[in-house]
Amino acid sequence: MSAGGETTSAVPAAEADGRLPGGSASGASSASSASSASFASSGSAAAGPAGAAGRHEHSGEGRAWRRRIALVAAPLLMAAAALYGLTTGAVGIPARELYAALAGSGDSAYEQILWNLRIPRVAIGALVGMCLAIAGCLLQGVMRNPLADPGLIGVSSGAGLAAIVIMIIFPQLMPLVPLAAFAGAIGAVFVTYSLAWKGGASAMRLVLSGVAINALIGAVTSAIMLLYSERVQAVLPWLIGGLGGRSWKHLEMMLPYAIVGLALAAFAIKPANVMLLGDDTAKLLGHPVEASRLFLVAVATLLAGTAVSVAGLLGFVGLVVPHIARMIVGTNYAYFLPVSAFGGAFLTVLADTAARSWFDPIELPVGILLAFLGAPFFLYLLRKGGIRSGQPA
Amino acid sequence: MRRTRRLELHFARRSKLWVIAALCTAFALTGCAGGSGKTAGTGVSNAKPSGAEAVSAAAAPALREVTVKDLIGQEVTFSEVPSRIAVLSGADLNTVYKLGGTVVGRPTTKNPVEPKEAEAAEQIGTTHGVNLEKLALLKPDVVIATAGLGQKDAEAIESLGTKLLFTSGYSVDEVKRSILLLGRMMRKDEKAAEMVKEIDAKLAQIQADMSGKTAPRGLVIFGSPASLQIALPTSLSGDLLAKAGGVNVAADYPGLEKSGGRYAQLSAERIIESDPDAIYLVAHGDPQQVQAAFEKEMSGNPAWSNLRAVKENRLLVLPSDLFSANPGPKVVEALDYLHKHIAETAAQLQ
Repeated sequence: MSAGGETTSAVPAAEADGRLPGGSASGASSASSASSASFASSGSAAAGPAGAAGRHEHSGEGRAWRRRIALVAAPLLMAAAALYGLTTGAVGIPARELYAALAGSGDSAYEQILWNLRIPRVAIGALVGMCLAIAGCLLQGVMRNPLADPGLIGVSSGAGLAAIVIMIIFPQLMPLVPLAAFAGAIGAVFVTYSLAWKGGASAMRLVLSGVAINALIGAVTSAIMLLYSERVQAVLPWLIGGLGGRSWKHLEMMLPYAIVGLALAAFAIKPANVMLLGDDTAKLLGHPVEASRLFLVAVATLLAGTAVSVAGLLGFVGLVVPHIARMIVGTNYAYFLPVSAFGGAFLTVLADTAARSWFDPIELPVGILLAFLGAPFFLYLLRKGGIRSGQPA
Repeated sequence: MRRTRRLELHFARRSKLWVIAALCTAFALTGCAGGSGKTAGTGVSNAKPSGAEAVSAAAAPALREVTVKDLIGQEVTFSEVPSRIAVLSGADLNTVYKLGGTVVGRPTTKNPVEPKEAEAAEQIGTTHGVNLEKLALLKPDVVIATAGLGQKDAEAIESLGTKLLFTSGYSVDEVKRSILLLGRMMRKDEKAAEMVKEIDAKLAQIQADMSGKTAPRGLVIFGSPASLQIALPTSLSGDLLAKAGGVNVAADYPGLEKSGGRYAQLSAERIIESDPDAIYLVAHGDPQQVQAAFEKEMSGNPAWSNLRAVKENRLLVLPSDLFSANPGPKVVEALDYLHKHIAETAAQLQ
């Protein structure tokens, strides 16, 4: 299981490339194109990149093992977190009562807590985690930038501005907050993409126009918060990201979009793998680069927009879960994407359960706990393994 | 402790203020000779009954110096009645005019100015953003700020050579003490006492009205149901709920107050467990419009739709100008507004 030195020579090139999005695409990607070309064309990629260059033969077996274990372990971890989430909460429900409540014959308050709070909330947490993690995976690949997350292209700032305008200025419209946040996220990404378009949208232009749009929307948001500073208290938990008081209504709201997004994500695996090679190589392979990029960004936006519309601005999952998954299974999206998805669900459900039960009677926004639990684990992996960027190793 | 820190600050700024402050301290020490341990020990005794702010002799004639202790426990001495008053909050503006005074600077607000006479006064910003240039031009004798004013702004105002007096409105008691404080500063003690008497009469009336009835258990949400910030007993709306005859559900969870804030997010499971009789939402914007959205939001969410308060439609929006910021003399209106609903709820519960 050791994550140690089996990815020797490819790592530096990949890192360098990841830090210099777009600009260095031709140079760095051609360096690794020899090994990645076969990886991309293999499609199903069961053999993975390991077979391509003989030097990786031995380590390839180790990774194949880890992939198999991770593919089984990640859903199991998610299931364990869900079980923990269903049995734990601020109000302690004894096991027997829990069973009765599940069967619909228990104490009415317990039944209410289990059926209308814990079950929908665990489901929402899992979906939100999946959506954000997959969105992060796709964007880190498309942008070829290890710092990419749904916030980079404007999802968080757009959703945040829309939600704040309603919550602070037009409180009479408050049932529309999720819809407005979703629309704000999509709108901000649309603007970012349009501005990056110049006969095509390169990864670097996307990142830069995302930075500019984020700054602009951020300034408007800050201005509103300052002008209405006595009302800010009411929106803080939403800005940090939390699932307090979410129930079936919110699950129903997000489910159709999440299902469509997750289904599309399955079709994103192949183009995402090809896009990792960089624009030039992908074009040489005859791949429709612009169409793929648009498709991947659109899927990521749909997923991230769905998540933030219900959970508020949860930042951490989309950035870090993909890195953790990549350290374990490598960059082939056929493994990387599902492991990230289940990992995101696991982390979000775990953190949300902690956020709503460890500090009883106070409930913390899950965004705080996510970073609190996730960051140390991430740092541990970072020191132990070494981060790979969105480049196939 | 706080007084000492403030004094040091003054010293660092200007020696003139230091002399005044030193006089205050001397005054405080001699004035409290009888119970010196009490005052010196507790420093700022916020829980003191009304009328305790004045440190100097109560029956001082208009010409004599008056030293007052404001709501953050800072002592300020006025050698004469300040004629140029600038105010940063709507509540204090109202109080000053009710006491028969006028202001040269008033808070900037999007709402209609109350009272109308104050409309023409220069706008000097709010507690959250003071317009220092306008203040410098106005040269007021005193600026009346609320306890939320930042330390930086406070220092900047004092550096203009203006006295700074703090009021506060996180409870009915603080509202009363703020009125008495302004009354003392303006040498209108009698009028201020009258205004406080009016509030006390309202409180007594509510108490009489509720005697023999079961006090309904209420929950106050601040701002938006989406973020579930619950008003604790330490907040104005939490205190008003109790004073208007209700019981604040948040008081059942002492752990909430450990967070140190006036609002905290109460766990959703605990809200269901406590099943309040009525739920209130302190909201900005037009209360009637928000009321419809509030009801829709609560009944449309399965997490809340089975709560007694939601099923029996005991949901009420509390306007923020009465329940979020210091209402000043209008605290009587706030008490009336909430008590009406609480009395109806109590009747239904019986």
